[in-house]
Amino acid sequence: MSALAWWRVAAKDARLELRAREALQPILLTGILVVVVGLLAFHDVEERLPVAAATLWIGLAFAGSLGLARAFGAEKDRGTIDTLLTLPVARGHLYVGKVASSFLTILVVALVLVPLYFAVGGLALPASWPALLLLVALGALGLAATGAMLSLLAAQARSRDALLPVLLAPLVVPLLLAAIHGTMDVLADLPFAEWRPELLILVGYDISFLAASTLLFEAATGA
Amino acid sequence: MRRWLAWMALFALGADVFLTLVMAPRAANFSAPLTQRIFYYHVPAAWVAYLAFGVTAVAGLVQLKRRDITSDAIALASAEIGTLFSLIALFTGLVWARQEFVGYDPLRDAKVVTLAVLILAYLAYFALRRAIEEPARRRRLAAVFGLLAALGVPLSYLASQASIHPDFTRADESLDPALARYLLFSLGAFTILYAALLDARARLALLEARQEEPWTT
Repeated sequence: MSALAWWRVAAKDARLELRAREALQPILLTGILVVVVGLLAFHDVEERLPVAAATLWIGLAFAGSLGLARAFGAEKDRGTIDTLLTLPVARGHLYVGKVASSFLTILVVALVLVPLYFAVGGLALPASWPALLLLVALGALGLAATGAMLSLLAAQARSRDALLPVLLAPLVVPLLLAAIHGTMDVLADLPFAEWRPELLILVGYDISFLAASTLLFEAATGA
Repeated sequence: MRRWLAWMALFALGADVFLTLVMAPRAANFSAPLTQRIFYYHVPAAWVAYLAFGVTAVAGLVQLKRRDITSDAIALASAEIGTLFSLIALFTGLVWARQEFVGYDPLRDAKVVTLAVLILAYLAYFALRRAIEEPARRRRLAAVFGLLAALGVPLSYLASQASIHPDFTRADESLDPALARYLLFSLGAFTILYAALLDARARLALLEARQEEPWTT
């Protein structure tokens, strides 16, 4: 149970979700709502690419923050958080496991939103569409890394569902800025050199927040 | 409260107002030379805003190590002062840009975006503190959030686009040495003011913490 403990935590979350299906549905609907409303509202705007890129990421961030609230929030509700914390594994595994399950949730949302976005938005699929997937994956990982950590903070506070978006907003601005600008460049089929800085910021964000949160996780659990 | 520190801040600030508004020469190459004087207050306010944030983060590290009430009092005091100064920096900057530039778009300015993120981070920090009743837990989680935010703020500067914001580190925009002296004085005066405010506010926070938990150290 040691080296793969994080995997067990993530698998447990996935299994729970497959059985109860209580979280994914509202999360997906929120994402779809934001993307559809955004695309409809800005339908007549002349420069559509920037608006479309921002809409996709706002949808992912909104839907993501709903899912992230559950990372530790659901454990708190069920009273299982203490059980989780007394497992004989390094605390870092709990964090990585929660990042993995949150990442998976956001990725599922993205897999629905991105095709929908091209279908409803009537945008042309760029030739470099794998690059779009890469940006989405890096962005989702960053959201999961920051969100899982903040979910643990919010779970220990009052009115945590209202608190999490407030905590999340200032920390994910760099991630969203880089992701939106990168997506804009990829949608416009610009060469790699154009969106390389954004890619580097996304990678840097993911690495630094994963590392910092792993280090701080122990303190945030109350050890 | 250290009286001498408060007196020093008062004296430094009085001298600063006289020096920057009366003594400093008119700046050349500005379309609004009078409004330009706002920068003797804008730059130091921004400096204090970021310094205060750094102090909150470092105090957070100490907090996680020692779990004492002093480091938390300093972190809280510094965050409150930092919020005030970041608002001053934002407001003075926007007023100046309105006079100096034509068609200035603050949202395309990396420094404005970073300052806005800094203000949001401060507000989130207070929201988190207010949502936790148990003092030890509040101190611990506030420290964790302060450290995470200290990572996010510089990253948001990198992620924002370059802008027309004046940048003294660039060779073609280096500051006139005749004006630089006054800016340096102002930076010093604001730093002393920060220290005096921090001292007073942290002492108050310490008293509050002792009242809340008379048995802690």
